Amino acid sequence: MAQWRLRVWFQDASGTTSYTGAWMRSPNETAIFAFVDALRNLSNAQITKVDVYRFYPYTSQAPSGQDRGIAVLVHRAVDPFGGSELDAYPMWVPESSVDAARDLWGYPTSALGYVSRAGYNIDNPIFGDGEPQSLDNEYPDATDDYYLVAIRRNYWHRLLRDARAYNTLSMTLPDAQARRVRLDIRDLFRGVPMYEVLQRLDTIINLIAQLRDQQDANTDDLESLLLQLIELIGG
Amino acid sequence: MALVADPVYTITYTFQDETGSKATTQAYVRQGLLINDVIARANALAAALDAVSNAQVTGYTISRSWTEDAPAGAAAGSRVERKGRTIWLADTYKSRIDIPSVEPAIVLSDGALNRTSVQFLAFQAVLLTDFIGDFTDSRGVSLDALAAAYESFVRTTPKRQPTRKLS
Repeated sequence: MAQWRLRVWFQDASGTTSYTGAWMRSPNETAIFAFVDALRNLSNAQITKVDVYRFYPYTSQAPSGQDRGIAVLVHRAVDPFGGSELDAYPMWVPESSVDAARDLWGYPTSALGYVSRAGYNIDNPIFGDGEPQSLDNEYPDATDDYYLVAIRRNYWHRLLRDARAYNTLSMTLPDAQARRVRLDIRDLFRGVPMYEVLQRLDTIINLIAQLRDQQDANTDDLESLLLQLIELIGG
Repeated sequence: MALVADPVYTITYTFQDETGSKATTQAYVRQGLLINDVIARANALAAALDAVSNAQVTGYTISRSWTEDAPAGAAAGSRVERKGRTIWLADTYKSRIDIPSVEPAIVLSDGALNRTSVQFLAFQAVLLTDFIGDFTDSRGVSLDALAAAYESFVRTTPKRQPTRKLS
């Protein structure tokens, strides 16, 4: 796509939505608003949203690897005026590993205008400032400038294995970050609420503990919960 | 009633591994920067991501959006399936811009849009004269003339289109 694609979204009286689009040489805001106003007068539906986007191809390396590895970084984001911590910016880096992903934090562009989705400044992540944390070794504490939530290579398997650790992690983070981490973990499960997964995992773990302690544990329940869990994550 | 800008430009990076599977990740740059600065940042981060991933970064999409904070409300009987179809020329190539739920008052009895109406003249001016060079076809060639303007429906086939397509 060598041009910018402008889309204007409409909604009619029935609630049905539709959009129309135009191609633009640049995302000229004045031209965009003039186009939208002209459309507003030509349609009896209501305009609800406008967006503009462009794809830039990038000449990159040949891909190697298919292990679905993913590195998850969480930067803290702060109020640009007061400096208080308000948000977190999680970033998933496909096909990456912990050592490589750490390099990203030291990249100068990270400090140049990158913000969280809500528009808060990503605090300047300076290379070597603060030790990145991983579930593979220890949990982050409030003194860290940024957090590494998890490194995934055999992703689904280890996500399940570490689900309880995620829960612990989200409780150790400041509220704003914890909420964001929970939301993103939930998204990772493609809409399945994380608490459901965690509840089932907790029950399974309890049952396994019972199995270990007493021989007459109910293995039907255990099997049923495992099947539910597999179904929940779309396996 | 106003279009409120989202606070950020969203940059969506697309990765592809050696099996052809794709994945994306997103970064955000605050509004208020010149677009060339946003592109420069996006490109720099693409290089950084390329360095830390063993997948191929196939490209990135920069997007920006505005949301209507208090929509005016759709008129009774409005249907987005009923389009005002406008065909524009860019040199000899054609580019289509539809108007969902076109205002009935500007549709003539034979199905053509009234291109002498105030509303349509304003629309035409935006695309052809007020912002010369901004609106293009998909190749990037500027729109330079109107070729057709008529009422159409989502399911309208070419044979069922109005006889007169330009009033």
